[in-house]
Amino acid sequence: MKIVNLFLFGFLLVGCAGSKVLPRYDQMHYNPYGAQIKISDGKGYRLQGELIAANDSGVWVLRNFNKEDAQALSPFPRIKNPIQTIDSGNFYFFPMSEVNGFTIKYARSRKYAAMMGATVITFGHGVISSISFPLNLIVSGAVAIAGSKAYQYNEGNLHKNELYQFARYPQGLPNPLDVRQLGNAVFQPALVTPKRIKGYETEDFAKNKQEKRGILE
Amino acid sequence: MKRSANRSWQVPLLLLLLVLVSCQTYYFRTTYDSANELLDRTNNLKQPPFLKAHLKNGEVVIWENQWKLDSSQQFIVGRGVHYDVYRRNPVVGECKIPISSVSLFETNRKLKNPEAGRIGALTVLGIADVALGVYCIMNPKACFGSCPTFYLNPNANYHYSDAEGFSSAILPRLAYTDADALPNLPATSNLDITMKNEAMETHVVRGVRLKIFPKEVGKTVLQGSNHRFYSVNNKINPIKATGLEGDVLPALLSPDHFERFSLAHPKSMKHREHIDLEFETKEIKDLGFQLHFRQTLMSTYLFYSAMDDMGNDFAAIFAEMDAKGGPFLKRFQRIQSSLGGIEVSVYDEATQTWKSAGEFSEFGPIAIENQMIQLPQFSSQHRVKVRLTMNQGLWRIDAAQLVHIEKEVTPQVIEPMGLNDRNSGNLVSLPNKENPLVTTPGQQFTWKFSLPSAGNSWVAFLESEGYYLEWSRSAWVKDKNIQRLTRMGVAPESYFRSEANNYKEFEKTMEREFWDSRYSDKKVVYENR
Repeated sequence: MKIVNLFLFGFLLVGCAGSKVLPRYDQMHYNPYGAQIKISDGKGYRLQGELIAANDSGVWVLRNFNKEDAQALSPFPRIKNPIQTIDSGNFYFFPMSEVNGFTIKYARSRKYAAMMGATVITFGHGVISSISFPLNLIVSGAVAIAGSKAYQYNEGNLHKNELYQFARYPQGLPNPLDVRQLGNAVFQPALVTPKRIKGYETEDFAKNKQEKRGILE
Repeated sequence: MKRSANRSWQVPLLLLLLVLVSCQTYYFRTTYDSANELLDRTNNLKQPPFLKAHLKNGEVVIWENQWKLDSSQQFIVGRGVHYDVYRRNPVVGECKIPISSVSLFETNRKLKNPEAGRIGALTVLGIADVALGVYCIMNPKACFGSCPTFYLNPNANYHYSDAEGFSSAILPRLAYTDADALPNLPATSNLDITMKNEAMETHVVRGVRLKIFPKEVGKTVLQGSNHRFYSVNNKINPIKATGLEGDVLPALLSPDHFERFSLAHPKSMKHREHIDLEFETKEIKDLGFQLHFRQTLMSTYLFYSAMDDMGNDFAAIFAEMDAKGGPFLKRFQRIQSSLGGIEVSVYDEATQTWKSAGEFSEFGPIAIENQMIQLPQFSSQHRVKVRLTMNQGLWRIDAAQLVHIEKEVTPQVIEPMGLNDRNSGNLVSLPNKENPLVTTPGQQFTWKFSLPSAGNSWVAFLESEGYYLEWSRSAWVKDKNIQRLTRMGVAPESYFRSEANNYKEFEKTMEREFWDSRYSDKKVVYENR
């Protein structure tokens, strides 16, 4: 039964590791989006999504559209919900004074949880598989857990006043900004790695750039 | 006590888990409010970091490491990507940004091998898995086990076991008596033979005895495939031996553990192959064909696959097989008969046909059997042609010879004088059919015999009677597949075809490593090698 649970856990980890709203660890330097954040007020209210901006007054978060909801409500309705929903209904503000704990994840690891499937190789170990099978599950599970927890900060190693560094707009919310047009990241390497963009070396780019980005030159 | 023993290995595992789970925090990002600060901090770096310029209007430009900050002209230039405020329509190419439009600079230092620890852990695990796999291939007895093994040298490992008992007696109802030749008895008359349970099995031993014959110059005694004993002389080696891979003669000349075997057919585990042998002799009367042989791990693979497919019904199916015989027992036996033994036939020049002589069918992949089949009457001018027909990939042949059969002989039976538990040193009462000796994994017993004279003056065979019960493995429970098990028994041909690919993968490493582990200095007769 425990082994079955470990496998189920592995599959859950595979699901987490496959999140496309974060760049892979070796592509995070190209990321034009914000990190993923989970904030809690310590009283049951929680908010998660992409960190759009942060300053002394609070944190702005865009919900991940592939998820049902960005908010978790406190089981105690008398406690005031600190989360404010803005305009589109997908954009939220969490006052900095109410931030009790947070986790920032800025990249995703490799899909180590898939390696748990490789434990079937231990069936070739005969009776020793009674040791090697759980050992493989434990080690590959531990690696998968470590992978899923990598590239994170929390209130223990990052002060909440430094959250802005991992926001999509660390300079603050641009003005004007139509929040209804904000979309999530979908990480396909071609969009974030200059060298991999098709047509990178063609002359069309200069023309394209002139047309679309006249303000730059 | 048991709980604390279980925990003893859990502690280091949990520590390992904690080490692996504990995450390193990377500090790689820095932000700068002004271009001067950016210039100061990055000027001395050997490699410029990734640079992001967050513009006042919300757009962002990202340069990898080919950027320049021109403080006199007040712009940054380099190849990069420019995103609009909503991060749409990225434009790639030469990006020249006025410093005045930048609200905040951000540099990102590239992390060096951030995944090295995790990849390292999995690499170590992978190496350990492969090493253990190789160990199991080299020590199938230790990993997969089967039946009791007997040793004249108690410190020898399974590679050097002198005999193995009742390999196919997997149930009480299948108990039988098995005799194996003991080739080199020591010069003393007091003989100790160690019996080991080296597998995850319960061995039920009803009796062990010696059958001995006085040694005579130029003669020896062989056991026939009919389990009778014959005095033979004048051994004749083959002068030609051809298998599917060509010449296999060097492997078959002497019983030296330099064996000929083939790999299973890629399309089906059941596929017949021949080895044709030629002997030069004019005396063709009373000829016997002597073969040193054992099985590959194909039968072990099939046996374990079947038990794997039984899953948590393993015990119930075995109980039913033992109590009633039942359909599963018939299926098991159908598998055995389907793959068959080593059929021996001799070429009759008069009729120009192959005449059947019989079949070797002793099971077991560990100890090498040494048996003989009496050849039928046939005619031949100069050369005797013998054909071995067998399932491809199922048998290892160590040596093949012709012998002249002198007569059938009756052995002198030597019952053991005593039995010692090697672990405790205690004397144990001798077993019989009603009160068998039951052994569990790790147990070793010494059978004590007293021969009429020095051991090296006798040709001896060790006879053991009993059965063994395989232990269920937790891994089998989850892989239950009664449908496949049924197909194995009901439609073995189809099963052998569908399972061929899986077995070929297993066999590729198994046979190679098994062979290389022991005979690396010799040429191997081997398909596609």
